[in-house]
Amino acid sequence: MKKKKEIWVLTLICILAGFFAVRVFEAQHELLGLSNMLTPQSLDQYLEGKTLARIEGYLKDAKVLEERRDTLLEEIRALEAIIDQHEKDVAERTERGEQIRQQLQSSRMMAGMLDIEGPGVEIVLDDRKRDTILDSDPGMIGYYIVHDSDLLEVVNELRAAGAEAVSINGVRITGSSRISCGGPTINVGKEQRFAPPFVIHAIGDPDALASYFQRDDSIYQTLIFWGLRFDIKKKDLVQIPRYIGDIDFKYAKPLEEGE
Amino acid sequence: MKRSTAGQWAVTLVSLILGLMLAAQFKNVQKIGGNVSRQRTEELTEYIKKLEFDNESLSNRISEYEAIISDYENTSQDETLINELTKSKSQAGLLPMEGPGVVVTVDNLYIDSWDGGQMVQNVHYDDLLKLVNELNAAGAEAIAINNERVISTTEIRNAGDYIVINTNRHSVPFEIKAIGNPENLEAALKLLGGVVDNLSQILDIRVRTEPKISIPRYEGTINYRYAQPIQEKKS
Repeated sequence: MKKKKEIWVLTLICILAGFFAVRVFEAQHELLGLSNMLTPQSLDQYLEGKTLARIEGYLKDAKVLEERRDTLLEEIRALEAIIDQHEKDVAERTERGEQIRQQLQSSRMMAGMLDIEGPGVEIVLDDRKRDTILDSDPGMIGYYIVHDSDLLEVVNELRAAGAEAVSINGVRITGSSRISCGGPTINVGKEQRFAPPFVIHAIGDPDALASYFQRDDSIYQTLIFWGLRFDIKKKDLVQIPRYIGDIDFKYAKPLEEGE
Repeated sequence: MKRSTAGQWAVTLVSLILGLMLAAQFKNVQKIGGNVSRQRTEELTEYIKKLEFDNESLSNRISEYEAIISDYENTSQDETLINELTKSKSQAGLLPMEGPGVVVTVDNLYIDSWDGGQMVQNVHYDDLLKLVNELNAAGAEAIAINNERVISTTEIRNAGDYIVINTNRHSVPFEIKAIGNPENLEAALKLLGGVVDNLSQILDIRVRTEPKISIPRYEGTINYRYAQPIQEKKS
């Protein structure tokens, strides 16, 4: 009688063990078949495979587009050389021509139409790393991620610290750049959208730029408080590309200067 | 006695195996949930969109350059040079501009408190920063705050009771002028839950469209002490 009872208990345990054995086996070996596809583990693996294939496709697309961009840039440089030659010719012929040419060059510099380089800083901004605090309190997530307003503050502080030019993830920031939120990404410039991490470059006095963020009221203190990543590195040489985008004035018309 | 020991051994053994299985199962579940590749896909699609946008802008730039070259070759060269200068000065903020747009006035808000006194809500630099950013997002072509033209180096910072813009001190009331499509600009600002909607709770803020606004040029000078144009092209 006692023996029978023990056997029943053992049987039950064996069934359970068998069940787990199957589950573990299923999860570790991707078996084909509908029943397996419906278990969450293999469904995930199935999607993973699809995603990998898609990534490969995207990488190819990106490469084609990069090559196209390089060709266009070469063409642009060639055209710029021709324009430059014309400008020089006119400048040589006319009175005040050289002066106009210099004004042209300096206003292009101010408008962000030239690729530039110089000493400065590199800032890397990123969301807080996944950690125990983050997982235990999903309602607080807003404090742990980079917002468009944070980028706006960083750019504003760089300007206040005397930055001569700023870029975010390779996009030149001009006076009419917007930095706004687009779901999980942030729109920089006109159409470009980026996900973190954000790499911000600024040209200017590296010490002045870096020390500005040590002020008590700096956005740096707030973001560090919430555990976001905010690294500032002084650099001897930072390169910032020109503004790429259309600038056309549909509504604003220039008024002649009184000089 | 003997029998029960054997049974205990059996149970122990099975439990042990069960434990191992559980551990293996748990580990497996943990491994899943890595959605790294999905994040990578998102990054890539954004990158592709950026490239497409860049390429379109570059193509536009090429046609623009071709037009300039054709002007140099077929029309007055002097005039073409002056036109180029006017254009890049406009882009740099070095020329006064005129056109339709919106005027936003921002002032401190005075609230009567329960004891008969008054509470003041001050205008902060970030209120102006957000308004300018919103106007830019809505396609503003030229912006000035209290006649300080907003250009690529314009900062808006608190300094005591003042707000510093283009290194000059300003105080309330603030008047932000923006040239662009008046309806678009106004709509973007007045969006429910938008910048003006939020700020109007704490500030005295008004938006009006105007058929003709004039915005002054940037009055300062920028001496580039650190930035240099990149001369050599990378090959």
